[in-house]
Amino acid sequence: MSQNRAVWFATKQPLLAQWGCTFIAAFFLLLSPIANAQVDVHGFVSQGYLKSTGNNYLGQTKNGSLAYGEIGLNFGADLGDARVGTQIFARTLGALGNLRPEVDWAFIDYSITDWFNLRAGLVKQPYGLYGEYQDLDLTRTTVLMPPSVYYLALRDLLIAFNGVQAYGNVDLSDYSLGSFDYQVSYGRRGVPDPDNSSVTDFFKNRGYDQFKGIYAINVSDLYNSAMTSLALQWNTPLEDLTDYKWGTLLLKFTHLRFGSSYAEGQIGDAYFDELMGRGLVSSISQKDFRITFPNTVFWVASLEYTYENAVFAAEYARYHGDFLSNNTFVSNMALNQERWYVQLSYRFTDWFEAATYLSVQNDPTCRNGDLDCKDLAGNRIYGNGIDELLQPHYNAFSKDLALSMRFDITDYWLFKIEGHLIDGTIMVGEKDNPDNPYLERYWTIFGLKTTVTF
Amino acid sequence: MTRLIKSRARQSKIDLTCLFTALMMLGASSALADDVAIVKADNPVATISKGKLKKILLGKMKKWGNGDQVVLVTLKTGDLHERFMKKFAGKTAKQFTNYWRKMVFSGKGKMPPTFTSETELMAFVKAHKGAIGYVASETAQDGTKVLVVD
Repeated sequence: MSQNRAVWFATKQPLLAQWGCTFIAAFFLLLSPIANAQVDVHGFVSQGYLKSTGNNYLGQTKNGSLAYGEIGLNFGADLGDARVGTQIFARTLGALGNLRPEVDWAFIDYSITDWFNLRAGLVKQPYGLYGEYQDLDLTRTTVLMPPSVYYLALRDLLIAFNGVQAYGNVDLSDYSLGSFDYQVSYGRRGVPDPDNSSVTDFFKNRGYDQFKGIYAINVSDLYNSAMTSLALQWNTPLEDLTDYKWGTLLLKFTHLRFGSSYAEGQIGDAYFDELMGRGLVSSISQKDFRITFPNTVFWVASLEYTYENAVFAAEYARYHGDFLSNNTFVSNMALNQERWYVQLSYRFTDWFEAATYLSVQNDPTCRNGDLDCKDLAGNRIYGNGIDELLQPHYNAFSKDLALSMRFDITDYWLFKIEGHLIDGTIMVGEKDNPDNPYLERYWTIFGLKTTVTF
Repeated sequence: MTRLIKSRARQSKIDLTCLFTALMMLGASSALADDVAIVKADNPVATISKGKLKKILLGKMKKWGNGDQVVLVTLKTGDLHERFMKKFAGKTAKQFTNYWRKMVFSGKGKMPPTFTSETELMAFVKAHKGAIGYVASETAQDGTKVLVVD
């Protein structure tokens, strides 16, 4: 019984923490009138449309999909040196989200001095230049952010954590060295709704049989015991040294480490029946599995240069991790990915801005899907497509060239239009394309999005 | 014929010189419009570095030396707003708004109050301890103090 209770707490911990933080934030917000503090309320609503050719992307987009939107509503108040707030957020993205409200962030922020302050609660996760703002369509030029570094399906993992964060600004401008912004975070990344999470999909996709259209494994629980991260941004002294004539340059490095984590679930019925038929398994208990990932690391190196109305950004990210299974029939997996992009945006007028980016993702040990690429078991991964029943070589990479236009109709209402030309399919989910397991090498996405904010 | 061409060439040279001088004067008059940061008159701070002013504009400096909260206020639009943000925040007015929207929707800060006129902004600064804003130098009035940016 007590073990069951421990398991229940372990699996419900993210949900409990999420709503616990919200409850505490709400309590302080309710106190704010007593402290004579003003409660600020802000919100946004975004609705997008995605239409693709060749492959479905994040939903059934070949037919055109409106299942792409976000809603956010936040409350915040200053209570002396502290600020408390919370944001309720809902999204829909293909089969994910379904506009179920969740707590996006809920924390108390205590200001001590310029160079040392504390946040505690459900806090936004620093990740690259724009990770904390990836749900905020109103803050960028593009419809889809560069999918290599800001992959929408990974949002659930990299968006926030339950824990504490120390942050501040260390000013070295007296020594002509600019200043440093840092954020050091410690906590847990919980997935409140594993049955409907893109993180669960990551594992399920690994065992998806695109030829038969069945999942080999079903994941029911995810657990993370510790997450540590460091984000360090150098606001270089370029502007001081050139008296603001040559713009501003900032460099940033973000490192995230997920310690001791696991995913639990069961082998799917169809796969288990097949194993049973071959006499490889005999007991129903052999359906259960646990995949542990003791050390998963994400890091991003970033650069942003701003000159008048032009902003140039470039980011390079690496993901590493080993996923070890305790079930013979669920294979071990390795995560080794390289992701980068370069982006240029320019504001032409008060109401018109344009941007273009090249976003690239691949496996660094096998950038072009060569025939001698092997998996952990030593088997070839890529082949010449359907002839060999192996993945085609273009499944090893994606190169996405995008062009976007943003129109600010008013200060609070915007509209965007965007086109993508893509070579390669690593960014495509097989389960979104059950009718075409080999996917199309060259494909396109067309996107529209409109956002209202207040 | 040659003399005529030379004369026209000289004439166009004179026109270009006039145009250049006019442009220089225009540039000079724009530079002469001296935008200043202002605080409440009893704020003990008299000078501020460019770096610190930028930190205030970006919400990275939240308290004055005496422990009072920094209360940043800005103009909503206009040339003065655009100039001041470019010069001291290193951002265009649009980029500045975008920056603060990021802060608000990630829970990191509160949108600075905005005013449609310098008079309204100055009235707020006069009435609020720790407030800081900006006006054209000739607009600054009693009850506020101009911060010297060094």
